[in-house]
Amino acid sequence: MNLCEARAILFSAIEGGTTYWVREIEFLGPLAVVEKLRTGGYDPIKFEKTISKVREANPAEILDRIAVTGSRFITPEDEHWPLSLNDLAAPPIALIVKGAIDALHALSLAIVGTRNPTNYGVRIAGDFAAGFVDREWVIVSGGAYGIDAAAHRGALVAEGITVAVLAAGIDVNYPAGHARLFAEIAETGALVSEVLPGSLEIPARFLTRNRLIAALSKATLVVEAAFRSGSLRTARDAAELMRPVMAIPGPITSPTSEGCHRLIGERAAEVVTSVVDAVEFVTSFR
Amino acid sequence: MIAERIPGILPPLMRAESLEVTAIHSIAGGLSARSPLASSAPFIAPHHTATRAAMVGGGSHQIKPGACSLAHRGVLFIDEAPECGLGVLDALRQPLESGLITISRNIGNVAYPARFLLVLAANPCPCGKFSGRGRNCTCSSQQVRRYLGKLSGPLMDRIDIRVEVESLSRVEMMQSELGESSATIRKRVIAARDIATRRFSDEAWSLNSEIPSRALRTTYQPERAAMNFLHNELDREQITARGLHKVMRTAWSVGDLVGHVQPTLADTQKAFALREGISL
Repeated sequence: MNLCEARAILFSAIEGGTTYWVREIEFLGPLAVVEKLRTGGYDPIKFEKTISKVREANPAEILDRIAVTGSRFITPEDEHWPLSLNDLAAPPIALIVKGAIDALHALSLAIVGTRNPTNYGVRIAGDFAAGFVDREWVIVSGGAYGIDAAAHRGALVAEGITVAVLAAGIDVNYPAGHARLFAEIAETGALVSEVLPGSLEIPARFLTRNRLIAALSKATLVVEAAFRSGSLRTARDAAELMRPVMAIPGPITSPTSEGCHRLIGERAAEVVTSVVDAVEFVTSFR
Repeated sequence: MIAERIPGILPPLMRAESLEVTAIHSIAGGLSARSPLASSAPFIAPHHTATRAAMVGGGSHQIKPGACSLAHRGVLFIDEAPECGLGVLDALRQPLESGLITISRNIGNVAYPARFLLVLAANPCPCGKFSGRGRNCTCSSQQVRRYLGKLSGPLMDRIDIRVEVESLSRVEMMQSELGESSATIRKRVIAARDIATRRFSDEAWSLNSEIPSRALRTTYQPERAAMNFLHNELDREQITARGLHKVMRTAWSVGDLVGHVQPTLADTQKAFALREGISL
Protein backbone atom coordinates (compact mmCIF):
# COMPACT_ATOMS: atom_id res chain seq x y z
CA MET A 1 0.00 0.00 0.00
CA ASN A 2 1.37 3.39 -0.97
CA LEU A 3 0.45 6.85 0.31
CA CYS A 4 -2.04 7.45 -2.46
CA GLU A 5 -3.86 4.18 -1.74
CA ALA A 6 -3.90 4.90 1.98
CA ARG A 7 -5.42 8.30 1.26
CA ALA A 8 -7.98 6.68 -1.04
CA ILE A 9 -9.04 4.34 1.78
CA LEU A 10 -9.34 7.18 4.29
CA PHE A 11 -11.09 9.37 1.70
CA SER A 12 -13.74 6.70 1.20
CA ALA A 13 -14.25 6.12 4.93
CA ILE A 14 -14.13 9.60 6.42
CA GLU A 15 -16.48 12.49 5.65
CA GLY A 16 -14.66 15.72 4.70
CA GLY A 17 -13.99 18.38 7.31
CA THR A 18 -13.64 16.05 10.32
CA THR A 19 -10.99 17.79 12.38
CA TYR A 20 -10.15 14.77 14.56
CA TRP A 21 -9.19 12.51 11.66
CA VAL A 22 -7.41 15.25 9.77
CA ARG A 23 -5.20 15.82 12.87
CA GLU A 24 -4.55 12.09 13.24
CA ILE A 25 -3.52 11.84 9.60
CA GLU A 26 -1.30 14.88 9.95
CA PHE A 27 0.52 13.53 13.03
CA LEU A 28 0.73 9.81 12.23
CA GLY A 29 0.66 9.87 8.45
CA PRO A 30 -2.02 8.20 6.29
CA LEU A 31 -0.34 4.77 6.25
CA ALA A 32 -0.14 4.54 10.02
CA VAL A 33 -3.74 5.72 10.48
CA VAL A 34 -5.04 3.04 8.09
CA GLU A 35 -2.95 0.42 9.86
CA LYS A 36 -4.12 1.57 13.28
CA LEU A 37 -7.77 1.53 12.13
CA ARG A 38 -7.41 -1.97 10.71
CA THR A 39 -5.68 -3.41 13.73
CA GLY A 40 -8.14 -1.96 16.23
CA GLY A 41 -6.05 0.89 17.58
CA TYR A 42 -9.12 3.13 17.87
CA ASP A 43 -12.21 2.83 20.07
CA PRO A 44 -14.21 0.06 18.29
CA ILE A 45 -17.58 1.39 19.46
CA LYS A 46 -17.12 5.09 18.85
CA PHE A 47 -15.49 4.61 15.44
CA GLU A 48 -17.40 1.49 14.47
CA LYS A 49 -18.53 2.76 11.07
CA THR A 50 -15.19 4.22 10.07
CA ILE A 51 -13.32 1.06 11.09
CA SER A 52 -15.64 -1.25 9.16
CA LYS A 53 -15.46 1.01 6.09
CA VAL A 54 -11.65 1.01 6.22
CA ARG A 55 -11.52 -2.79 6.60
CA GLU A 56 -13.82 -3.28 3.61
CA ALA A 57 -12.17 -0.65 1.40
CA ASN A 58 -10.32 -1.79 -1.68
CA PRO A 59 -8.01 1.03 -2.80
CA ALA A 60 -7.58 -0.25 -6.35
CA GLU A 61 -11.33 -0.38 -6.82
CA ILE A 62 -11.79 3.12 -5.36
CA LEU A 63 -9.15 4.59 -7.67
CA ASP A 64 -10.76 2.76 -10.59
CA ARG A 65 -14.16 4.21 -9.79
CA ILE A 66 -12.60 7.69 -9.84
CA ALA A 67 -10.70 7.05 -13.07
CA VAL A 68 -13.89 5.86 -14.81
CA THR A 69 -15.50 9.29 -14.31
CA GLY A 70 -12.60 10.89 -16.20
CA SER A 71 -11.39 12.75 -13.17
CA ARG A 72 -8.21 12.69 -11.11
CA PHE A 73 -7.60 11.86 -7.50
CA ILE A 74 -5.14 14.31 -5.98
CA THR A 75 -3.63 14.17 -2.52
CA PRO A 76 -1.59 16.67 -0.49
CA GLU A 77 1.53 14.74 -1.56
CA ASP A 78 0.67 15.47 -5.19
CA GLU A 79 2.54 18.26 -7.00
CA HIS A 80 -0.83 19.56 -8.22
CA TRP A 81 -2.24 19.94 -4.69
CA PRO A 82 -3.51 23.50 -4.18
CA LEU A 83 -1.44 24.67 -1.23
CA SER A 84 -4.04 27.27 -0.30
CA LEU A 85 -6.14 24.41 1.10
CA ASN A 86 -3.55 23.72 3.79
CA ASP A 87 -4.61 26.94 5.54
CA LEU A 88 -7.82 25.21 6.57
CA ALA A 89 -8.30 23.86 10.09
CA ALA A 90 -9.36 20.61 8.46
CA PRO A 91 -7.87 20.36 4.96
CA PRO A 92 -9.44 17.69 2.77
CA ILE A 93 -7.87 14.20 2.89
CA ALA A 94 -7.83 14.29 -0.89
CA LEU A 95 -9.80 15.83 -3.75
CA ILE A 96 -11.37 14.62 -6.93
CA VAL A 97 -10.79 17.03 -9.79
CA LYS A 98 -12.22 16.94 -13.28
CA GLY A 99 -10.88 19.29 -15.93
CA ALA A 100 -7.92 21.64 -15.71
CA ILE A 101 -6.10 21.20 -12.42
CA ASP A 102 -4.09 24.37 -13.13
CA ALA A 103 -7.27 26.36 -12.53
CA LEU A 104 -6.95 25.56 -8.81
CA HIS A 105 -3.58 27.33 -8.65
CA ALA A 106 -4.59 30.53 -10.38
CA LEU A 107 -5.51 33.81 -8.73
CA SER A 108 -9.16 33.31 -8.00
CA LEU A 109 -12.27 35.00 -6.66
CA ALA A 110 -15.11 33.11 -4.97
CA ILE A 111 -18.57 34.41 -5.83
CA VAL A 112 -21.30 33.06 -3.58
CA GLY A 113 -24.92 33.88 -2.83
CA THR A 114 -28.51 32.80 -2.61
CA ARG A 115 -30.25 30.18 -4.71
CA ASN A 116 -33.18 32.59 -5.13
CA PRO A 117 -31.58 35.72 -6.44
CA THR A 118 -33.33 38.73 -7.86
CA ASN A 119 -32.47 39.91 -11.35
CA TYR A 120 -30.19 42.41 -9.68
CA GLY A 121 -28.16 39.66 -8.04
CA VAL A 122 -27.93 37.56 -11.19
CA ARG A 123 -26.74 40.56 -13.13
CA ILE A 124 -24.20 41.65 -10.54
CA ALA A 125 -22.82 38.12 -10.14
CA GLY A 126 -22.43 37.78 -13.90
CA ASP A 127 -20.87 41.23 -14.28
CA PHE A 128 -18.37 40.72 -11.47
CA ALA A 129 -17.42 37.28 -12.76
CA ALA A 130 -16.87 38.70 -16.24
CA GLY A 131 -15.01 41.72 -14.86
CA PHE A 132 -12.60 39.59 -12.85
CA VAL A 133 -12.16 37.18 -15.74
CA ASP A 134 -11.15 40.13 -17.92
CA ARG A 135 -8.39 40.78 -15.38
CA GLU A 136 -7.23 37.17 -15.69
CA TRP A 137 -8.78 35.93 -12.48
CA VAL A 138 -10.39 32.53 -12.11
CA ILE A 139 -13.89 32.31 -10.62
CA VAL A 140 -14.72 29.76 -7.91
CA SER A 141 -18.27 28.96 -6.81
CA GLY A 142 -20.64 26.14 -5.93
CA GLY A 143 -22.92 24.32 -8.33
CA ALA A 144 -26.31 25.53 -7.12
CA TYR A 145 -28.99 27.48 -8.90
CA GLY A 146 -28.98 31.22 -8.53
CA ILE A 147 -25.85 33.23 -7.83
CA ASP A 148 -23.51 30.23 -8.26
CA ALA A 149 -24.81 29.55 -11.75
CA ALA A 150 -24.88 33.26 -12.64
CA ALA A 151 -21.21 33.59 -11.64
CA HIS A 152 -20.16 30.58 -13.73
CA ARG A 153 -22.18 31.80 -16.70
CA GLY A 154 -20.70 35.28 -16.44
CA ALA A 155 -17.20 33.80 -16.43
CA LEU A 156 -17.97 31.50 -19.37
CA VAL A 157 -19.53 34.29 -21.43
CA ALA A 158 -16.36 36.33 -20.89
CA GLU A 159 -14.41 33.25 -22.07
CA GLY A 160 -12.78 32.81 -18.70
CA ILE A 161 -11.93 29.90 -16.47
CA THR A 162 -14.25 28.92 -13.67
CA VAL A 163 -14.19 26.26 -10.95
CA ALA A 164 -17.28 24.61 -9.43
CA VAL A 165 -16.87 22.98 -6.04
CA LEU A 166 -19.59 20.35 -5.81
CA ALA A 167 -21.25 18.98 -2.69
CA ALA A 168 -22.11 15.66 -4.35
CA GLY A 169 -19.97 13.16 -6.26
CA ILE A 170 -18.14 14.40 -9.33
CA ASP A 171 -20.42 12.32 -11.62
CA VAL A 172 -23.65 13.30 -9.84
CA ASN A 173 -25.19 16.26 -11.57
CA TYR A 174 -26.80 18.08 -8.70
CA PRO A 175 -28.94 19.98 -9.43
CA ALA A 176 -29.76 17.92 -12.53
CA GLY A 177 -30.62 21.09 -14.47
CA HIS A 178 -26.96 22.06 -14.38
CA ALA A 179 -25.59 18.99 -16.17
CA ARG A 180 -24.78 21.04 -19.25
CA LEU A 181 -23.31 23.90 -17.24
CA PHE A 182 -21.00 21.48 -15.40
CA ALA A 183 -19.85 19.95 -18.69
CA GLU A 184 -19.12 23.42 -20.02
CA ILE A 185 -17.20 24.39 -16.87
CA ALA A 186 -15.05 21.26 -17.08
CA GLU A 187 -14.04 22.08 -20.68
CA THR A 188 -11.80 24.95 -19.68
CA GLY A 189 -12.05 25.06 -15.90
CA ALA A 190 -12.49 22.42 -13.26
CA LEU A 191 -15.05 20.57 -11.17
CA VAL A 192 -13.96 19.71 -7.64
CA SER A 193 -15.52 17.25 -5.21
CA GLU A 194 -14.54 16.03 -1.77
CA VAL A 195 -16.68 12.88 -1.84
CA LEU A 196 -16.55 9.63 -3.80
CA PRO A 197 -18.21 9.48 -7.22
CA GLY A 198 -21.86 8.55 -6.85
CA SER A 199 -22.21 10.13 -3.40
CA LEU A 200 -25.35 12.16 -2.95
CA GLU A 201 -25.56 15.69 -1.65
CA ILE A 202 -26.59 15.89 1.99
CA PRO A 203 -27.05 19.16 3.90
CA ALA A 204 -23.87 18.73 5.95
CA ARG A 205 -21.80 18.37 2.77
CA PHE A 206 -22.86 21.83 1.61
CA LEU A 207 -21.35 23.35 4.72
CA THR A 208 -18.08 21.38 4.49
CA ARG A 209 -17.99 22.19 0.78
CA ASN A 210 -18.29 25.92 1.55
CA ARG A 211 -14.95 25.90 3.38
CA LEU A 212 -13.28 24.60 0.20
CA ILE A 213 -14.72 27.48 -1.83
CA ALA A 214 -13.34 29.93 0.73
CA ALA A 215 -9.93 28.23 0.86
CA LEU A 216 -9.45 27.74 -2.87
CA SER A 217 -9.88 31.44 -3.61
CA LYS A 218 -7.90 34.50 -2.74
CA ALA A 219 -10.98 36.56 -1.93
CA THR A 220 -14.70 35.98 -1.47
CA LEU A 221 -17.55 38.07 -2.81
CA VAL A 222 -21.08 37.65 -1.42
CA VAL A 223 -23.58 38.94 -3.95
CA GLU A 224 -26.99 38.28 -2.45
CA ALA A 225 -27.66 36.27 0.68
CA ALA A 226 -30.71 35.95 2.90
CA PHE A 227 -30.49 36.44 6.66
CA ARG A 228 -29.85 32.75 7.17
CA SER A 229 -27.76 31.58 4.28
CA GLY A 230 -25.03 29.07 3.54
CA SER A 231 -23.14 31.79 1.70
CA LEU A 232 -22.58 33.54 5.02
CA ARG A 233 -20.80 30.36 6.15
CA THR A 234 -18.44 30.67 3.19
CA ALA A 235 -17.84 34.32 4.07
CA ARG A 236 -17.02 33.44 7.68
CA ASP A 237 -14.76 30.58 6.58
CA ALA A 238 -12.90 33.02 4.34
CA ALA A 239 -12.59 35.54 7.18
CA GLU A 240 -11.16 32.83 9.45
CA LEU A 241 -8.53 32.14 6.80
CA MET A 242 -7.72 35.87 6.80
CA ARG A 243 -8.86 36.14 3.19
CA PRO A 244 -10.60 39.36 2.14
CA VAL A 245 -14.40 39.21 2.09
CA MET A 246 -16.55 41.59 0.09
CA ALA A 247 -20.30 42.04 -0.04
CA ILE A 248 -22.55 43.78 -2.52
CA PRO A 249 -25.16 45.99 -0.88
CA GLY A 250 -28.76 46.02 -2.05
CA PRO A 251 -31.97 47.79 -1.10
CA ILE A 252 -32.69 47.47 2.63
CA THR A 253 -36.17 46.32 1.69
CA SER A 254 -34.85 43.29 -0.20
CA PRO A 255 -34.80 40.05 1.83
CA THR A 256 -32.09 38.63 -0.42
CA SER A 257 -29.67 41.39 0.52
CA GLU A 258 -30.23 40.99 4.24
CA GLY A 259 -27.26 38.65 4.72
CA CYS A 260 -24.91 40.97 2.86
CA HIS A 261 -26.00 43.86 5.03
CA ARG A 262 -25.47 41.73 8.10
CA LEU A 263 -21.88 41.01 7.05
CA ILE A 264 -21.27 44.66 6.28
CA GLY A 265 -22.84 45.73 9.57
CA GLU A 266 -20.64 43.36 11.52
CA ARG A 267 -17.60 44.74 9.69
CA ALA A 268 -17.01 41.20 8.44
CA ALA A 269 -17.11 42.27 4.82
CA GLU A 270 -16.04 45.26 2.78
CA VAL A 271 -18.70 47.05 0.74
CA VAL A 272 -17.91 46.98 -2.94
CA THR A 273 -19.95 48.69 -5.59
CA SER A 274 -17.97 48.08 -8.77
CA VAL A 275 -15.50 45.63 -10.26
CA VAL A 276 -12.81 48.31 -10.12
CA ASP A 277 -13.49 48.84 -6.40
CA ALA A 278 -13.31 45.13 -5.74
CA VAL A 279 -10.09 44.62 -7.68
CA GLU A 280 -8.49 47.50 -5.84
CA PHE A 281 -9.58 46.12 -2.48
CA VAL A 282 -8.34 42.57 -3.03
CA THR A 283 -5.04 43.59 -4.56
CA SER A 284 -4.31 45.78 -1.52
CA PHE A 285 -4.12 42.54 0.47
CA ARG A 286 -1.20 41.09 -1.43
CA MET B 1 -55.72 46.93 -7.42
CA ILE B 2 -53.32 48.30 -10.02
CA ALA B 3 -54.42 45.83 -12.67
CA GLU B 4 -58.10 46.76 -12.34
CA ARG B 5 -57.20 50.35 -13.00
CA ILE B 6 -55.36 49.72 -16.25
CA PRO B 7 -58.50 50.01 -18.44
CA GLY B 8 -58.99 53.43 -16.86
CA ILE B 9 -55.82 54.75 -18.49
CA LEU B 10 -56.39 53.13 -21.86
CA PRO B 11 -57.77 55.32 -24.66
CA PRO B 12 -61.40 54.70 -25.73
CA LEU B 13 -61.84 52.08 -28.43
CA MET B 14 -61.84 53.30 -31.99
CA ARG B 15 -64.85 52.49 -34.13
CA ALA B 16 -63.36 49.42 -35.80
CA GLU B 17 -61.98 48.11 -32.51
CA SER B 18 -65.29 48.66 -30.82
CA LEU B 19 -67.05 46.59 -33.47
CA GLU B 20 -64.53 43.74 -33.07
CA VAL B 21 -64.93 43.69 -29.31
CA THR B 22 -68.71 43.87 -29.59
CA ALA B 23 -68.76 40.98 -32.07
CA ILE B 24 -66.71 38.72 -29.77
CA HIS B 25 -68.75 39.55 -26.72
CA SER B 26 -71.94 39.03 -28.70
CA ILE B 27 -70.84 35.47 -29.63
CA ALA B 28 -70.03 34.82 -25.99
CA GLY B 29 -73.42 36.19 -25.00
CA GLY B 30 -71.91 38.79 -22.74
CA LEU B 31 -73.55 41.96 -24.04
CA SER B 32 -76.14 43.59 -21.86
CA ALA B 33 -79.17 45.44 -23.20
CA ARG B 34 -77.95 48.65 -21.65
CA SER B 35 -74.62 48.75 -23.47
CA PRO B 36 -75.07 46.98 -26.79
CA LEU B 37 -71.87 48.49 -28.16
CA ALA B 38 -68.60 48.08 -26.28
CA SER B 39 -66.94 51.48 -26.17
CA SER B 40 -64.22 51.03 -23.61
CA ALA B 41 -61.42 48.51 -23.30
CA PRO B 42 -62.65 45.27 -21.72
CA PHE B 43 -61.14 43.99 -18.49
CA ILE B 44 -61.25 40.21 -18.12
CA ALA B 45 -60.01 38.57 -14.95
CA PRO B 46 -60.43 34.79 -15.04
CA HIS B 47 -59.83 32.94 -11.77
CA HIS B 48 -56.59 31.02 -11.55
CA THR B 49 -58.51 27.73 -11.57
CA ALA B 50 -59.70 28.43 -15.15
CA THR B 51 -59.06 25.65 -17.65
CA ARG B 52 -57.15 25.91 -20.88
CA ALA B 53 -60.43 25.89 -22.81
CA ALA B 54 -61.77 28.73 -20.68
CA MET B 55 -58.61 30.69 -21.37
CA VAL B 56 -58.28 30.25 -25.15
CA GLY B 57 -61.82 29.24 -26.09
CA GLY B 58 -63.49 25.99 -27.06
CA GLY B 59 -66.69 23.99 -26.88
CA SER B 60 -67.93 20.94 -28.74
CA HIS B 61 -71.24 22.19 -30.21
CA GLN B 62 -70.35 25.77 -30.73
CA ILE B 63 -66.81 27.07 -30.44
CA LYS B 64 -66.97 29.97 -28.03
CA PRO B 65 -64.28 32.57 -27.47
CA GLY B 66 -62.19 32.18 -24.32
CA ALA B 67 -60.94 34.74 -21.87
CA CYS B 68 -58.06 35.78 -24.11
CA SER B 69 -60.46 36.67 -26.94
CA LEU B 70 -62.91 38.40 -24.61
CA ALA B 71 -59.97 40.53 -23.52
CA HIS B 72 -59.28 41.51 -27.14
CA ARG B 73 -58.26 45.21 -27.27
CA GLY B 74 -58.36 45.24 -23.50
CA VAL B 75 -56.75 43.70 -20.46
CA LEU B 76 -56.48 40.03 -19.46
CA PHE B 77 -55.60 39.95 -15.81
CA ILE B 78 -54.64 36.74 -14.01
CA ASP B 79 -54.16 37.06 -10.28
CA GLU B 80 -52.03 34.50 -8.41
CA ALA B 81 -50.63 33.43 -11.77
CA PRO B 82 -48.28 30.67 -10.44
CA GLU B 83 -51.35 28.88 -9.04
CA CYS B 84 -52.72 28.37 -12.56
CA GLY B 85 -53.06 24.85 -13.89
CA LEU B 86 -50.35 23.20 -15.93
CA GLY B 87 -50.17 24.65 -19.43
CA VAL B 88 -52.93 27.21 -18.93
CA LEU B 89 -50.59 30.19 -19.01
CA ASP B 90 -48.43 28.71 -21.73
CA ALA B 91 -51.52 28.37 -23.91
CA LEU B 92 -51.44 32.17 -24.05
CA ARG B 93 -48.03 32.25 -25.68
CA GLN B 94 -49.28 31.81 -29.23
CA PRO B 95 -52.04 34.46 -29.09
CA LEU B 96 -49.58 36.83 -27.39
CA GLU B 97 -47.32 36.49 -30.39
CA SER B 98 -49.85 36.51 -33.23
CA GLY B 99 -52.84 38.35 -31.74
CA LEU B 100 -55.02 35.51 -32.98
CA ILE B 101 -56.15 32.18 -31.54
CA THR B 102 -57.15 29.28 -33.77
CA ILE B 103 -59.31 26.66 -32.09
CA SER B 104 -59.77 23.30 -33.76
CA ARG B 105 -62.65 20.99 -32.87
CA ASN B 106 -64.38 18.26 -34.90
CA ILE B 107 -67.06 20.73 -35.96
CA GLY B 108 -64.43 22.93 -37.55
CA ASN B 109 -61.76 25.53 -37.00
CA VAL B 110 -62.41 28.98 -35.72
CA ALA B 111 -59.94 31.83 -35.44
CA TYR B 112 -60.80 34.51 -32.91
CA PRO B 113 -58.85 37.72 -32.55
CA ALA B 114 -56.94 37.90 -29.27
CA ARG B 115 -54.82 41.02 -29.08
CA PHE B 116 -54.80 41.72 -25.38
CA LEU B 117 -52.65 43.24 -22.71
CA LEU B 118 -51.62 40.43 -20.38
CA VAL B 119 -51.23 41.33 -16.72
CA LEU B 120 -50.02 38.67 -14.29
CA ALA B 121 -49.76 39.00 -10.54
CA ALA B 122 -47.82 36.72 -8.21
CA ASN B 123 -46.63 36.58 -4.64
CA PRO B 124 -42.87 36.50 -4.05
CA CYS B 125 -43.16 32.98 -2.58
CA PRO B 126 -45.87 30.45 -1.61
CA CYS B 127 -46.24 31.87 1.92
CA GLY B 128 -46.22 35.43 0.60
CA LYS B 129 -43.91 36.84 3.24
CA PHE B 130 -40.64 36.97 1.31
CA SER B 131 -40.51 40.74 1.23
CA GLY B 132 -39.07 43.45 3.41
CA ARG B 133 -36.50 41.75 5.57
CA GLY B 134 -38.06 38.40 4.77
CA ARG B 135 -37.64 37.00 8.23
CA ASN B 136 -41.21 35.72 8.49
CA CYS B 137 -40.92 33.69 5.32
CA THR B 138 -41.06 29.96 5.94
CA CYS B 139 -40.47 28.78 2.38
CA SER B 140 -37.43 26.78 1.34
CA SER B 141 -35.46 28.03 -1.61
CA GLN B 142 -36.72 25.09 -3.61
CA GLN B 143 -40.35 25.98 -2.86
CA VAL B 144 -39.76 29.54 -4.03
CA ARG B 145 -38.01 28.32 -7.17
CA ARG B 146 -40.81 25.88 -7.96
CA TYR B 147 -43.50 28.49 -7.31
CA LEU B 148 -42.06 31.13 -9.60
CA GLY B 149 -40.91 28.41 -12.00
CA LYS B 150 -44.58 27.88 -12.90
CA LEU B 151 -44.17 31.02 -14.97
CA SER B 152 -42.20 29.47 -17.81
CA GLY B 153 -39.18 31.14 -19.38
CA PRO B 154 -40.79 31.59 -22.82
CA LEU B 155 -43.85 33.17 -21.18
CA MET B 156 -41.76 35.53 -19.05
CA ASP B 157 -39.74 36.39 -22.16
CA ARG B 158 -42.97 37.88 -23.56
CA ILE B 159 -43.57 40.09 -20.54
CA ASP B 160 -42.50 43.69 -21.23
CA ILE B 161 -42.78 45.27 -17.80
CA ARG B 162 -42.07 43.74 -14.42
CA VAL B 163 -42.83 45.65 -11.27
CA GLU B 164 -42.08 44.63 -7.74
CA VAL B 165 -44.82 45.95 -5.49
CA GLU B 166 -43.47 46.74 -2.06
CA SER B 167 -45.79 46.46 0.89
CA LEU B 168 -47.21 49.81 2.02
CA SER B 169 -44.99 51.74 4.38
CA ARG B 170 -46.29 53.62 7.39
CA VAL B 171 -45.88 56.98 5.72
CA GLU B 172 -47.70 55.88 2.58
CA MET B 173 -50.48 54.48 4.75
CA MET B 174 -50.97 57.82 6.50
CA GLN B 175 -50.85 59.93 3.36
CA SER B 176 -54.11 61.69 2.73
CA GLU B 177 -53.38 63.03 -0.73
CA LEU B 178 -53.91 60.48 -3.41
CA GLY B 179 -51.56 59.74 -6.28
CA GLU B 180 -52.08 60.90 -9.81
CA SER B 181 -55.57 60.16 -11.05
CA SER B 182 -56.21 57.74 -13.89
CA ALA B 183 -57.76 60.55 -15.90
CA THR B 184 -54.50 62.54 -15.90
CA ILE B 185 -52.47 59.49 -16.88
CA ARG B 186 -55.01 58.65 -19.54
CA LYS B 187 -54.43 62.04 -21.21
CA ARG B 188 -50.73 61.25 -21.52
CA VAL B 189 -51.47 57.80 -22.90
CA ILE B 190 -53.88 59.21 -25.47
CA ALA B 191 -51.29 61.80 -26.55
CA ALA B 192 -48.62 59.12 -26.90
CA ARG B 193 -50.97 56.88 -28.87
CA ASP B 194 -51.77 59.78 -31.21
CA ILE B 195 -48.08 60.29 -31.91
CA ALA B 196 -47.70 56.58 -32.67
CA THR B 197 -50.79 56.48 -34.88
CA ARG B 198 -49.56 59.47 -36.87
CA ARG B 199 -46.11 57.94 -37.25
CA PHE B 200 -47.59 54.68 -38.51
CA SER B 201 -50.19 56.32 -40.79
CA ASP B 202 -48.57 54.76 -43.86
CA GLU B 203 -48.06 51.38 -42.24
CA ALA B 204 -50.26 48.36 -41.75
CA TRP B 205 -50.17 48.68 -37.97
CA SER B 206 -50.89 51.45 -35.51
CA LEU B 207 -49.38 50.45 -32.16
CA ASN B 208 -45.77 50.23 -31.04
CA SER B 209 -46.34 46.68 -29.84
CA GLU B 210 -47.29 45.71 -33.39
CA ILE B 211 -44.14 46.93 -35.15
CA PRO B 212 -42.81 43.88 -37.07
CA SER B 213 -39.27 42.88 -36.20
CA ARG B 214 -38.04 43.61 -39.71
CA ALA B 215 -39.25 47.19 -39.46
CA LEU B 216 -37.52 47.47 -36.08
CA ARG B 217 -34.23 46.64 -37.73
CA THR B 218 -34.71 49.14 -40.56
CA THR B 219 -37.03 52.15 -40.41
CA TYR B 220 -37.94 52.00 -36.75
CA GLN B 221 -34.59 51.58 -35.10
CA PRO B 222 -33.74 53.48 -31.91
CA GLU B 223 -30.65 55.70 -31.86
CA ARG B 224 -27.22 54.29 -32.64
CA ALA B 225 -26.08 54.46 -29.00
CA ALA B 226 -29.22 52.67 -27.88
CA MET B 227 -28.61 49.88 -30.36
CA ASN B 228 -25.02 49.51 -29.15
CA PHE B 229 -26.33 49.15 -25.62
CA LEU B 230 -28.84 46.48 -26.66
CA HIS B 231 -26.34 44.54 -28.75
CA ASN B 232 -23.96 44.57 -25.82
CA GLU B 233 -26.66 43.04 -23.60
CA LEU B 234 -27.37 40.46 -26.31
CA ASP B 235 -23.68 39.53 -26.50
CA ARG B 236 -23.56 39.06 -22.76
CA GLU B 237 -26.61 36.79 -23.00
CA GLN B 238 -28.57 39.08 -20.70
CA ILE B 239 -31.37 39.24 -23.22
CA THR B 240 -32.83 37.03 -25.96
CA ALA B 241 -33.39 38.03 -29.56
CA ARG B 242 -37.13 38.24 -28.91
CA GLY B 243 -36.40 40.24 -25.78
CA LEU B 244 -34.27 42.66 -27.79
CA HIS B 245 -37.15 43.37 -30.16
CA LYS B 246 -39.58 43.69 -27.28
CA VAL B 247 -37.33 46.22 -25.55
CA MET B 248 -37.15 48.23 -28.77
CA ARG B 249 -40.97 48.33 -28.97
CA THR B 250 -41.25 49.40 -25.34
CA ALA B 251 -38.56 52.01 -25.98
CA TRP B 252 -40.77 53.54 -28.69
CA SER B 253 -43.60 53.82 -26.14
CA VAL B 254 -41.26 55.34 -23.57
CA GLY B 255 -40.06 57.81 -26.19
CA ASP B 256 -43.61 58.67 -27.28
CA LEU B 257 -44.59 59.48 -23.69
CA VAL B 258 -41.84 62.08 -23.42
CA GLY B 259 -42.18 63.27 -27.01
CA HIS B 260 -38.93 62.01 -28.54
CA VAL B 261 -38.91 61.57 -32.31
CA GLN B 262 -36.72 58.48 -32.03
CA PRO B 263 -36.01 56.46 -28.86
CA THR B 264 -32.80 57.69 -27.22
CA LEU B 265 -30.29 55.68 -25.22
CA ALA B 266 -32.04 56.74 -22.00
CA ASP B 267 -35.45 55.65 -23.35
CA THR B 268 -34.06 52.28 -24.34
CA GLN B 269 -32.30 51.79 -21.02
CA LYS B 270 -35.53 52.61 -19.26
CA ALA B 271 -37.41 50.09 -21.40
CA PHE B 272 -34.74 47.51 -20.59
CA ALA B 273 -34.93 48.26 -16.87
CA LEU B 274 -38.72 47.95 -16.95
CA ARG B 275 -38.39 44.57 -18.60
CA GLU B 276 -35.77 43.33 -16.15
CA GLY B 277 -37.57 44.76 -13.14
CA ILE B 278 -34.40 46.52 -12.00
CA SER B 279 -33.53 50.16 -11.63
CA LEU B 280 -30.49 50.94 -13.72
